[in-house]
Amino acid sequence: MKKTLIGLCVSAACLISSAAMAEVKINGFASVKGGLTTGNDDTLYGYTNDIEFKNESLFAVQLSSDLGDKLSVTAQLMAKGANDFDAEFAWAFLSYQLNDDLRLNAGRFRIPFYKYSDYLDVGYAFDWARTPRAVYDVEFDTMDGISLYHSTSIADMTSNIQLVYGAYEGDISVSGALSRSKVQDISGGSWELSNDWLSARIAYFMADVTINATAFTPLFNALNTFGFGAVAREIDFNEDEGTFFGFGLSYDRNNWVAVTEYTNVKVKNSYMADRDAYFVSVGRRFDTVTPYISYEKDDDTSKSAIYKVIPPQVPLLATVAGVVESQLADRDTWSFGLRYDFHPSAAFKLQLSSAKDNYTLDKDRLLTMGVDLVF
Amino acid sequence: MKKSLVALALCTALVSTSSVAEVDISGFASVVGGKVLSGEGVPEFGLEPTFLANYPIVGFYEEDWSFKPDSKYGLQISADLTEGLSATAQLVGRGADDFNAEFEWAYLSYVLNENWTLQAGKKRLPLYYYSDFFDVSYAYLWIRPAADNYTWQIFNYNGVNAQFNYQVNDWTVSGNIYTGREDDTENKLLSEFFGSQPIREIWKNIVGGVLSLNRDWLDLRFTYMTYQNERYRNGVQVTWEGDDSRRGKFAGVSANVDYNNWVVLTEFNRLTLDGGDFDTYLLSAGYRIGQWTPFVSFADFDSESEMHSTASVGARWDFHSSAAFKVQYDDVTDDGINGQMVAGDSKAITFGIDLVF
Repeated sequence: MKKTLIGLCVSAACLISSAAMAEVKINGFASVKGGLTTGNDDTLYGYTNDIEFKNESLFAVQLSSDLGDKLSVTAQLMAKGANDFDAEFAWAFLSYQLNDDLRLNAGRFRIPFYKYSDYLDVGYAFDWARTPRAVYDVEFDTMDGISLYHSTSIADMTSNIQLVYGAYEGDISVSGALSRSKVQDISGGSWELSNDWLSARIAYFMADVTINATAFTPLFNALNTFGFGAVAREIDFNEDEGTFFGFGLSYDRNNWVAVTEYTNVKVKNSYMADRDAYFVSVGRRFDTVTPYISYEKDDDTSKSAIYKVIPPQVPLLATVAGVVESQLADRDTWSFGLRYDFHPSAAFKLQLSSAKDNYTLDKDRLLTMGVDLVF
Repeated sequence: MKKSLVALALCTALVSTSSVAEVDISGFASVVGGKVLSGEGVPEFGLEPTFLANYPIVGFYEEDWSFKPDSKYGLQISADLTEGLSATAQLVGRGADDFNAEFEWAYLSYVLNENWTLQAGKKRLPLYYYSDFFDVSYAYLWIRPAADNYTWQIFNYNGVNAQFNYQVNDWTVSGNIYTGREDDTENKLLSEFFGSQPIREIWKNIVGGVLSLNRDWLDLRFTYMTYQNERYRNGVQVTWEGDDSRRGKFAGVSANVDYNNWVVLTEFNRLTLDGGDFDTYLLSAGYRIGQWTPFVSFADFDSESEMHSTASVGARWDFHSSAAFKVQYDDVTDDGINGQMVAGDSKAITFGIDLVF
């Protein structure tokens, strides 16, 4: 491969000049997906009844370089259609191999919330058109910090432990408005134990969550004016303790593939619901074609106690109740689809998803098709 | 197949060793400086004498020297996955947009047979002759394709297309059939230049085609596209005579001749929208003398509501096998848009270097 030459040119041109002789590897992945809902007024995952090719399409280029002496560097430049194809560094970290079992990463990397966290955007790595949204729903997925990997063999099992510490700063959408956020002191880890055909995984994280939710500023001002400052503090995100718990199992034997994950996400002293979600997915490989079926459950309990302290005659009650109860959710999503490996490093996917809101009884159906590849 | 292996490879060393794809990187850059020599500006908007060199991305020169409006760099990444499949991306940073890097291309190609290729993803909307390589200034004669012609606010789309290429006697017959949509959440031209409120511009149900005929010294190109326009101003949907969408139709023809050191470039386009015609044309001629190609050019935009034109004279100097120096003088006559000036009359000088690598 000619990558070394390019790497050298690049490094020579930008400052590093003569000393560096590191080999730079270039890889990447891309997805092009088109989708539309089947009903005129249906909307799901950002799709409408008009066919749309931008929403879940993306392109990423990954550069990695082994600098020698156990040190390597990795950067991933990604453009997502949903973000107007602006180029962003989703990952950028240094890696240092401490010994055979231990590796330390420092920089920007994925938070290992879920089984597929490391390849959330690499559609090729899983069978579905997208990871199950009911479970994969934390509003941010990368952090800046350090991460310690430990991997070893226990009997005939492989054990992978990842511990992280760091922070996320960026925008989180609250009540429809992108709001400046700081998620600090993210600490926790994941542990995966697997053999040839079975894998079990557990993850737990804690963090202090602060969100400057501008959409609520008028409401908070009103609450403070009328002496309900304590209620405002129960709604807002001001260094409030968030926790994430996740558990997963997967099975892959005799051409049967099954995956399940459960997550519980909470932020204390905030209006965010206690979120419980899980999915179960089963597929069967027939040579290059893998049909599958999956079921997702999203069960979010709203914190009604927040507004119970407001007397009924106070007009603000309705507004506060509306905000708090907007978090209540009970949704079932069924998906049927297939993956067709038409090429050694590319797959065609077709998926029909039907999401039912058990409160409104609304049903939204979405048809997605597309190609995922890695290079 | 064991996805877990792939996944593992992606996860630890990321994609790394397992894939066989050949990745090629190429690129281009333009460093262009210029200034307005004299001009009217638009006093009622407080606009100083201005030369609007690029409508879609709002690249304009004023009376002080600036090196941003036409400057840009681009990186093109192309991965050949073998068996006819490839992935292509083009990362572009433009001075007019503070050199923020954005993917202008992000598409997959699949070769069906020797004549047909399927593509899907984000591409340039191939309305005009120079649309596909608008950013690669090295590929054409001038500093930029005529601003009066390349005015439309949407220049990319997300969708699918089929390209074809046939040899018929002495003619190369090639073309493209495409469909898709673009949803620009804050359109730069409409939001920043022709207004001060955020405008979301949607072109949907785009269907179009391009047909090119080439032989020896002659190059003919025909283009047609139809789309449905929806627009939101400050989040509120715009209506046109009560309808929340309107249909536009674009048609164009281009004829280029490269014969005995003479280069003649022409392009005629018409957009029909709201029952009105927006006509543009470009006439350009150059003569190659060794490494030098001096040229003259005239471009015009003509509709009931909007009229402006530019006369240009300049030269391209191919001082290097993959770089060219260019200098160009533009004289803009602005007859306004709905009774107001676009940017006023102006005379401007620009020069710079375009290269590819």
